[in-house]
Amino acid sequence: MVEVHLQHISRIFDEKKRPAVNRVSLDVRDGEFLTLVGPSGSGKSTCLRMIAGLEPVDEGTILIGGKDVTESRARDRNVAMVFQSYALYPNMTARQNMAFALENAKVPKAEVAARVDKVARMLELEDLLDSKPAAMSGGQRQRVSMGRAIVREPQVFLMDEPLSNLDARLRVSTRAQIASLQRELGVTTIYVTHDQTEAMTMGDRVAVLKDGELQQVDAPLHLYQYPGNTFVAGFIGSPSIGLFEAVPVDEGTARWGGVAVSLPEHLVGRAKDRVVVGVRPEEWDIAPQAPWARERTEAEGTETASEATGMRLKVEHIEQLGSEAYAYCVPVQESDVRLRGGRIALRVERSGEIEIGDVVDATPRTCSFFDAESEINLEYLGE
Amino acid sequence: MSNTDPTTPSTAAIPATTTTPRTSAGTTGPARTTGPARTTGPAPLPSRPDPTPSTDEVEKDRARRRARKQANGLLGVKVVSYLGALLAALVIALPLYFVVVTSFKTHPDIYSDPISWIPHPFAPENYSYVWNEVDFGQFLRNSVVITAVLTVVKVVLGVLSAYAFAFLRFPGRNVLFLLVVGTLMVPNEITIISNYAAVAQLGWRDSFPGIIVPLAGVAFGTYLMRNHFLSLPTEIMEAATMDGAGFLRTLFRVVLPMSWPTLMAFVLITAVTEWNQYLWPFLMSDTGRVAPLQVGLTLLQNNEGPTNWGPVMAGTLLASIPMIVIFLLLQRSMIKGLTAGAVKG
Ligand SMILES: Nc1ncnc2c1ncn2[C@@H]1O[C@H](COP(=O)(O)OP(=O)(O)OP(=O)(O)O)[C@@H](O)[C@H]1O
Ligand SMILES: [Mg+2]
Repeated sequence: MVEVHLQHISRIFDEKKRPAVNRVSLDVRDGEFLTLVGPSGSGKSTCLRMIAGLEPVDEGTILIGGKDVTESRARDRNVAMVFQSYALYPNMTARQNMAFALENAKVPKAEVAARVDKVARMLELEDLLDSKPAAMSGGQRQRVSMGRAIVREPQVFLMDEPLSNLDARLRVSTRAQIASLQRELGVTTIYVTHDQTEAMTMGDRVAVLKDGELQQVDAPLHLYQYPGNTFVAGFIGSPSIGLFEAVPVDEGTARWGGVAVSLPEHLVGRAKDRVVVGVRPEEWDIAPQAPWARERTEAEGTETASEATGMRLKVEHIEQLGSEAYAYCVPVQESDVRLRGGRIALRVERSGEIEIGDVVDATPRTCSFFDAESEINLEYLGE
Repeated sequence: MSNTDPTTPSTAAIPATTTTPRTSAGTTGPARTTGPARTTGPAPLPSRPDPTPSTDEVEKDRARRRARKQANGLLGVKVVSYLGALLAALVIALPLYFVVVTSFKTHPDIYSDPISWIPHPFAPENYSYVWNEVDFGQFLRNSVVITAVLTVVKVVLGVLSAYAFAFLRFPGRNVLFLLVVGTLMVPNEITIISNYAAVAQLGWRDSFPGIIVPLAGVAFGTYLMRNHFLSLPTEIMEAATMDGAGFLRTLFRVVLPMSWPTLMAFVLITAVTEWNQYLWPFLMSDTGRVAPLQVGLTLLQNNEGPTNWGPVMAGTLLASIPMIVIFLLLQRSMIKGLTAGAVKG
């Protein structure tokens, strides 16, 4: 049973600036694959290095397997780390790279050889065992650095963006390999990435960091459907969620730009008179605007049509992905509800349906509601 | 210049260039043939005013032109660099030539006017004279002892101190490092008197410790190696930490193997410097018992009224052979870059 508990850990590089890691508390379960995700500079690497023992812990406590390791040296923690640059020893062959830690731990020679061979077979590295890192491709180096970690049979794996140096295709296949390998080995793993797709697809749970502060820890799907705040909502999901700011709420219904959405009953009480509404790209119903509707708009001006017409959007850009497409639109009508980011993405299922310059009416199916001030999801707010 | 370049086809060999307005045949150098210069493939029909070559052709054409331009540029660079090398070689080689030539000259031949460029008569006996007349073997032994001990001590101290300055965190580290580097700025001559007094008090005059200990201070090596260590990728050192390698094991198994070229340069520079030490060993060796070669050679100078330079030059040449050998041995490992492939990119 190896659980990792972070209890209010902080790392303060500079007293004058905000801490790189700010009172982060996190419980990683035994055998779990936890991904740590956040934008650049959010303190992911620092957090991981604190767990590894490469960075001192200024505040708080770290427990690994029930043991307080806050003050222990890296070598005494029995954790293995995979670095972004792989950090292979250039003067050693793959075999020596993998055996190095075992030799340091004074493991008998025969056992070292057996363990290296076993891991090499597992990672299909047999042919590379006697080559040096300089003679390997990026993907091969990555596998060797994984092997170096696995061969130690550590309590915990720590990985800091191990895939970011691979090309896109290799990244996708390696992603799946690492995830299944981890499941096979059952070793508690903390995996840092800035790529939310990686985080969502690999992790049993995803922890989101921003400015050194932990925002939310949850299973990927739950995180996607119930983001804790607008930051998580915007960071998770690609293209990102559309956020409408300061939408007025009247009798349990949020209304803006020709759209009316009633809040779920349990949220009505929690909403103040204005909320932030988030709509995922796939949650829009799109109706290409009929010619008669266009005429009516021209005749009547804005905002007079009945609520159900939907939001009038002009397509500015289309991202064609083959099976689907994303249309990036701007609202046609002026409104006091501001759209964060200025543009909103809609998923178009049948590509070719919409072209740049088209005007569409879009109606949201499901929305998330956030408090206008704290930007916290109403789902998580007590009454 | 283009005539000497074999890769440049002569302008006349390019058919159909006259059909394009941009190239006027004859006057153009290779760099100016910007029109579609077809050297292969079927010649375009003359009736067509502006032949539009297939994109494939255009690509080939561009590549050819690029190669030609590059070749021209390379040639220029080559000529300049050869000239520079030649000049530098002359500056170094001429005095060296005279050292070699003089070592084979007889006494009158050396002072002949005008100077003779070739020794006449040829006098190799200068070498045997040096070997027999002064105690060359003993001086050589002293030199080897002093240089070997100093090189080992300096390299060990330099590497260890540099490693500490680069990777250990201790209070006053930067101040201490500045102090070490500061000693580089103090000329040796200034410290000689106090060193002499100290060594005399210890009773070390005319002994190996007297010569070696005051010379064993290392600042340059610390500076050189520390800067090199700091340039190594930190993630590799961290990987070693995670792999449970101790301080010294990290040094020997990870850091030093990535540092061979710099380390070899350090060893070479130290060996040559110590081999050529003159002033301090001269002051220390009262009887010549522990004097190195460089001091021993001066005995040749003083013994003969007007110096007979032939034996002196012969001795000088003999004294420099060990360093040439060391250089040849070490230079190959100095060139190899060993960090390649450590980290991506
Ligand atoms: N050694 C250091 N000294 C001072 N500040 C540091 C140091 N290391 C990191 N920081 C600061 O801590 C913050 C978090 O850095 P960290 O490397 O953890 O970010 P990250 O989330 O890993 O980003 P990325 O995705 O770019 O790797 C940054 O603002 C950085 O400037
Ligand atoms: Mg990072």
